[in-house]
Amino acid sequence: MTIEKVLLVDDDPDIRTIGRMSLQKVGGWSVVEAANGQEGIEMARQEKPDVILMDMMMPVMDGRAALAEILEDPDISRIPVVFLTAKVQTGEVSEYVSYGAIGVIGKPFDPIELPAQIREIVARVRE
Amino acid sequence: MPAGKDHETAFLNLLIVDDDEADRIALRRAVGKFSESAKITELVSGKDAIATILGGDFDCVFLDYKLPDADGLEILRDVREHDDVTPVVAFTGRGNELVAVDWMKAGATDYMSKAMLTPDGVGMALRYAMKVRDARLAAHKSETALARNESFLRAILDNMQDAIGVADSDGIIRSVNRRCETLMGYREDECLGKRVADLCPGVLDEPAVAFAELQETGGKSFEIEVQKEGGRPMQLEVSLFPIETISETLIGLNLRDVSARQELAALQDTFVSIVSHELRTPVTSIYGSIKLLLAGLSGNIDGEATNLLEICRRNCQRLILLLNDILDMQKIQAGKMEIAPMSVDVGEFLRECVDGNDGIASGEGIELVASVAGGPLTMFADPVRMQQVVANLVSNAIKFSPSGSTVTLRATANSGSIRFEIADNGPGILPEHADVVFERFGQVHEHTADKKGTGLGLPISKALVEAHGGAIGFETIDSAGTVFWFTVPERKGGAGDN
Repeated sequence: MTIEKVLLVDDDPDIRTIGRMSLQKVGGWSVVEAANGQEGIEMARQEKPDVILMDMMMPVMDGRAALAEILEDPDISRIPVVFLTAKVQTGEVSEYVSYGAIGVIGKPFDPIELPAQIREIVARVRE
Repeated sequence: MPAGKDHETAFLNLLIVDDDEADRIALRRAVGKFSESAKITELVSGKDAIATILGGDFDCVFLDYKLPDADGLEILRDVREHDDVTPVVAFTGRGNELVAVDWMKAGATDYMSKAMLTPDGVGMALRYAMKVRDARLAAHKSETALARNESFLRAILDNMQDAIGVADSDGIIRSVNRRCETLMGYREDECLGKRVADLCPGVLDEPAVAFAELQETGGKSFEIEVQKEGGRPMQLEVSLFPIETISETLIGLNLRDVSARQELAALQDTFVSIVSHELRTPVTSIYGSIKLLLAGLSGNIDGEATNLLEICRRNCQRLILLLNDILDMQKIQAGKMEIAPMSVDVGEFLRECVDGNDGIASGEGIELVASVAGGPLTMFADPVRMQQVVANLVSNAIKFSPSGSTVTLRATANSGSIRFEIADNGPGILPEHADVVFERFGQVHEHTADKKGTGLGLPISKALVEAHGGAIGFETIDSAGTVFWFTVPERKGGAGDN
């Protein structure tokens, strides 16, 4: 699968700025953004990204609830979701995967490594 | 009650109560033969006898049976209501065996006929009286000491913060302290004779089982939640222990309210987790921005700016490590550190360890080499957590190794466990610092700013290794460096040994 467009969902605008620069300039992808789970679902329906990179703890609708709704919608349920979260501890990764995410990347992340990490997760799932 | 005296040598203080002068003279003479320094008080009637005896501190009283105004037996009975120590020798000329029995029942020490008023007879009666008096005084003394001791212990028990109780092997309460009332809501009289299980369910529901277990193990502790009427649920720490008495074994109960401790722990848990999470978000922004700037993704930056950004990056990295360590330490302290052990190839594990730490090592001009002794080895461990342990030990080794030296990672099989060694050529650890190495913030070296660690790496490593059932330690070789080692089980259920 070739990644061309990534949807970045995070309530922190600074993180979105850094994420966008990383995904665009290092990954070479186009980026669309949303500030919470609800906006993220709407954006996913509208933009049909190749990957969704989504924060866990957000106002209005958190990452878990948004993922559940994405998985319910046949239009977007096949878009792989990677969680980008500060709450990464042993045990929590497998918990997130059990919700239906294909992988978890912890915060703080390295913006130079981020696109490679996403590629690796997506490739691993496709195997 | 008279104070104790050494009757054989001390001066004797005697009282004779007798209306017959001839008898008094005979008695005085006989006493004189027995003791030259005796002080003798004489009463010729029963009128003041009781008050004199009770107030007189006499070593022995000779009391006549028939006095003109009173009955000697009645006088003795009155005296014994207040004083059971002063020896009273009853004497009479008209006695018989039945009278003697009455006297002894009323509390007489001895009984003698007036015909026995010889120095030998009186001497014998006095010696015996002294012995009885001394024995009674000694008994009084130990009773007093016992009572004092008991009230002392009772005061301690009643003022303890824990509710303390004693139950028999059927779980029936024999004794409780005052704290039981404030803690459990039952007064002492409401507790005694009741079943522990009825008053405080969960503490001693099956006394027979608990009793057998306590005799086997010597004690046990557990926690229960108690819902008091109209109150919040209370967390109780219960300790049960056997109490051996001369005649039986009882069950001791110690109930401690640990609700506050648990609330505090939960609060601390939440606090640390929120703080570290809230800190992570801004740190992510700072770290990400620096990395993007350093990579030149927002235009070129000159040498000096690069240096400054590199300082930012390095310190931001330290902050991240510290946050991770604080979270790990908090999880360890709360007993919530999770490990996911699995079968791991040791050779591959070490290669990954070298790959993961090579960048830091080469940056310091240090070579990192690894070797596995004795063919392919497997360990049963959480690879992520074990890499964290190796990373901590390797990072310490690099910190203290001179540039151009080598840090060696070795693995060997060692009776059911795998022993890992991380050897450096650093200055070593002084023996007096050995105890603090694995303590929190127990750094033993003066660090330069760039060598300063979090002080949590080794205690976290120790906890992680011990969570796997292994051990951790180090050996310093004089001026030739330090070898840190740890063990992990080779197989599932196996214990690492030293």
